[in-house]
Amino acid sequence: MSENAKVLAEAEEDLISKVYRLVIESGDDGILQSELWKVLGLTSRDGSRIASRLEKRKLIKRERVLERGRWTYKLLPLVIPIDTSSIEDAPCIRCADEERCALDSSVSPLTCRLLEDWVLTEYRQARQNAPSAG
Amino acid sequence: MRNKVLNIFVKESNILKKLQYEDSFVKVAGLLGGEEYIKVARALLNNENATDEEIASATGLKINIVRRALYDLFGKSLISGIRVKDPKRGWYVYQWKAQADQVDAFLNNRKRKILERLKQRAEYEKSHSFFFCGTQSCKKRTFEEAMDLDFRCPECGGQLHPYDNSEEVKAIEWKIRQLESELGSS
Repeated sequence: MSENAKVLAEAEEDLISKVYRLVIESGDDGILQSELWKVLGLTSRDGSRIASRLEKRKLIKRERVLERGRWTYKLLPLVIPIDTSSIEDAPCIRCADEERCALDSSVSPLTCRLLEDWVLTEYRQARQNAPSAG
Repeated sequence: MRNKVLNIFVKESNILKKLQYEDSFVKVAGLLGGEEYIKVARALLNNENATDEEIASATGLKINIVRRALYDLFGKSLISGIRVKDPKRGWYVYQWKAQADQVDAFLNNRKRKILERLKQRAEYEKSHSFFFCGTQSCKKRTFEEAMDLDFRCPECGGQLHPYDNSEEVKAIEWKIRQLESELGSS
């Protein structure tokens, strides 16, 4: 894959995420794809390709609707992405010693500095954002 | 070394923030292995039953990196593989498929493991008195350890003073409540 193709593929994945976000934010009412392409400055050809990707991944569905006398598609969210934020930065997720981590092992949750740093950082951030937290 | 590990976590966490609106399967892959896993996961969603070579070609990643990601995801039951005979070359190849329905169970399992570790840590923090020299890169010691060390830090040579760990206890208990509430509602 050439550098150019790589950049294009990444840009397309970013666009897919953006379209998915806008569809989710539109809620149960959905959003007309023509409106969406206008917001994102996409041609209908590129936009349809992205919508079809999301539909193939079963993240959205397309419903045919008549809008001002013209047939178009409305995009509706099918799945809301899971929230991983509570453990996203947890060191255990990518820890190379995770398999060895046990109370009686040299790698132990009792003394793990990364575990301590992680909860402290998140706790302090939460308190900063909402001083009543904790 | 610790800073290097922390930098990697910061970089990976920035990637994940970008993934807020992404397929759950891709999000979890990113959680496990960062950008390379994200590329592999996206390629798997775009090309069902793809071989490692096809994924390498679609992502621009080296084949050994793709294989490492695939075996890791397979080991965690997040993808499945079937062995088929390559009609052109005559040898056997594996075709891989995302197991998107396993993502929730995988995440809950991870949360439970972390929750268990945090509960053990909370108990340990509450049942011990700690001593610390004040140097950020040094370890804090329990009273028993500090006694054996004559209250002298073996890492920097500084004196070990009583250490108030109440913030750590509060932080751990806060995280425990957060995870318990998420697991309770899932």
